[in-house]
Amino acid sequence: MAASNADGTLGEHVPRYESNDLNSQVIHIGSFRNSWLETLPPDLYSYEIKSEEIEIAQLAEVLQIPTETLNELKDICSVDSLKSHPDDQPVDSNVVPPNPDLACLRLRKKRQDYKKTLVRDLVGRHDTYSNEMESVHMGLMPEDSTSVVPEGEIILSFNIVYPILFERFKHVRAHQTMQVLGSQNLTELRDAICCVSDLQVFGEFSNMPDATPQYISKDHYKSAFFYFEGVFYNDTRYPECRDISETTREWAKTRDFPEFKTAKMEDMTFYDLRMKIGYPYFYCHQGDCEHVMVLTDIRLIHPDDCRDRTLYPLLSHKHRVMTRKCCVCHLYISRWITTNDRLAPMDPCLFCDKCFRMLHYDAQGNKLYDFQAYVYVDPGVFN
Amino acid sequence: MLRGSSHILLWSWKSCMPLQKYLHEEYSVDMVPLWTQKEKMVFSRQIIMSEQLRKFEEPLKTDLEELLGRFQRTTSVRYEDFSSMWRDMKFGDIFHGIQNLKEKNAFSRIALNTATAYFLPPYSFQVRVGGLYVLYGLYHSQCSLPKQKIRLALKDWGDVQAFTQDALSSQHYDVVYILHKLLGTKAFHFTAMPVPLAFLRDKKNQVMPNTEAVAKPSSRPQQLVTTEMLEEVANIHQHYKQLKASVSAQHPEASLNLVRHNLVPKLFNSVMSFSTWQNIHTQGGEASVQSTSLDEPSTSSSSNQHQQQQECSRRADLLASIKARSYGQVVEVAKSRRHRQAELCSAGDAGPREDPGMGGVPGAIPRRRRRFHNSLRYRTLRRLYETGGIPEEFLTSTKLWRLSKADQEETTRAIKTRFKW
Repeated sequence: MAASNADGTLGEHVPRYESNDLNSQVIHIGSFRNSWLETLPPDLYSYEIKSEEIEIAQLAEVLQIPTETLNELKDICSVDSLKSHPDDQPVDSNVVPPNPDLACLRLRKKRQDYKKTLVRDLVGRHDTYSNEMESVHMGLMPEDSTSVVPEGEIILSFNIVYPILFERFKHVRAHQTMQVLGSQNLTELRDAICCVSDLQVFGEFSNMPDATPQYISKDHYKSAFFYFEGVFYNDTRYPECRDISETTREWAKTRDFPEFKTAKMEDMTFYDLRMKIGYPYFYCHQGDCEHVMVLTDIRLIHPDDCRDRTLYPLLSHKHRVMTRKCCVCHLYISRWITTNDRLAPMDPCLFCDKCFRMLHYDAQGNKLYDFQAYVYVDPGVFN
Repeated sequence: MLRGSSHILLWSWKSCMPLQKYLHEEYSVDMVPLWTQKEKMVFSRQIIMSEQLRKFEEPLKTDLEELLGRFQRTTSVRYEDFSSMWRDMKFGDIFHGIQNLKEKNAFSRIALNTATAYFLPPYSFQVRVGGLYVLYGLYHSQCSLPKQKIRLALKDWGDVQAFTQDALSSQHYDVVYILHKLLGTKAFHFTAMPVPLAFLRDKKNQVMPNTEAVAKPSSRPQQLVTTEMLEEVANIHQHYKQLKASVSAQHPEASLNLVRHNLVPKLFNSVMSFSTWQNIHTQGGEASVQSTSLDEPSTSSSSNQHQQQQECSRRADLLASIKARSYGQVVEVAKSRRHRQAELCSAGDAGPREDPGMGGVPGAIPRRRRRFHNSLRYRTLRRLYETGGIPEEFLTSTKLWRLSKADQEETTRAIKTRFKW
């Protein structure tokens, strides 16, 4: 007699799959949160874990059985009943047990046997620390109690993809995954997204290699916008910010698209948004650096999540990029890129600082021949 | 440095980053300069991790169904029975054998997500109880840190509540106890959707079932041109002719003959020929009773079909033999081009060659066959080389750190044996 799951009986704020089974329909995040908070008893989403006595007392009330039966239940259903090996014989969980019956274990044993046949089994150094980002933030409490995230808060996870993506690599995990609190503004997410195009430095510096200017593109071009469900959210915090979504909106008007609306990024929190889960959306900054963003998950906060409000938006996954090394020494990360350079093996060519100066300038710092040099910021700078 | 700032401001960032134009998606992957090969390798390592874990979905389902099947056969919902089965199958060891913590976490997530399906409708009550026990077992036997949680979507919460009520009313206290224990140890994540969604279309799993054999052949012409329709058209045609005759009384002008005289018979004939053609081309003989609502005798047509079928196959055989003869002979080229003799290769060979020493084109680089097909760059270079456009050195890429090497030296690539699941 379970309640039927037909669409008609569900409320309108309950997320469901759309017909393509890839994303949900449009939901209003604030009302989604309210729906959960209404149906859940508060102790289920609170941070504290109840002590045993209270739990037993409550259970006795609910089940309405005498305490001896309850104690009996406790013994039968304890966690020890799941252990397949007695406590005094510890088993190494990193090794597949011999003669496995389970299909998963047999599959894993294949890999284990293969690894045994290898002469050298190299563990990539990235794999050792691959989980570090998540484990560092586990259950982290802030030092002062004012910046604790309250219970019942919503965490949204966004996948932000590389601005230029090869078709072949679309199935790779995204460039970054950020976790954001529902009560934060959109501007906080915008500030937290790290993209290498924000760090670009202008100018041709072959004549004055020591004189790189101090400002970067992030300070110059401050306009940005998010696009969610037919609304462009523009960043208007600074006087230099312009509405860069205007061109798109005007183009859309000439092409029979529905009217797109605009809103201010700094006024909106995530609770006010209406979005689809699992559907690609858009973030544009620097005029033409475009990122696809996907909202992958919305859930209530859990005691194991980071509870320090100042740390949000939290980077929970970052793809490690191979940095490009200097073409001369192959040791240092390159900082200069040259074109029209007759001594370089290819056009354009990357150099680290030392090799660049040794090749192109003499001891006094005079330019030795004609070439063009630009500052290069490697995409792996955020590693 | 503000001196030049106004001048600098006019530059867009793109003009200072010539590399970016190579990375735009318009260009094929292989026109990118050499140093991004490494990037490709890093990406492919990431693909391997998630693909690895996808291989575990099938075995997980098998194992879970085995366990739940056994539980169902006992027709009881007691936890003791379940836990004895769990210990018997040593199901807790399913998490063993992973060295990497990240993989441990990912596997736990997958296991919990798969098992949650059995806890929700439309399964029967007993299976759902089994699912609940499985979740309890998996949650407490996982080796991951932090303990991965069970995802519960908003739309399923109502079902869980109803389930608890059922269990309580039927006095299955262990069910309720286990559920409360799980809720008390904060084992659930209260989410929007049961699985995190990232708009990843699974191309491999969506195998389109081959419906050609069972699909009904299209019968639209027959549906359009039915007997009633032909009668109507004949009527209208009659009326039209009468009208025309009455309008131009003396002699009907030739220029007014815009409609065929034998419109109706011609329509009928063309639809009939179409349906017979269809019947010949569909497999099996059952199509001879296609939806032609015209009651023409079809006895003669079946023998016709047979004859036509024989004719078609004879023609096909003839064509095939001609083709085989022509492609089987290799034309000898003139002596002046004897270094580039044409070679006969079978259809299976048309793809890339595995090792260079097989008497094929010298300088062919061993390519991994299954993972990546030959890139456009490689194919273009090969074609240019074969037509004599470029010298042989262009086929292999110059390693920067070996810009000068002795003429006779050749580096042979070690072919690594990769692990196949």
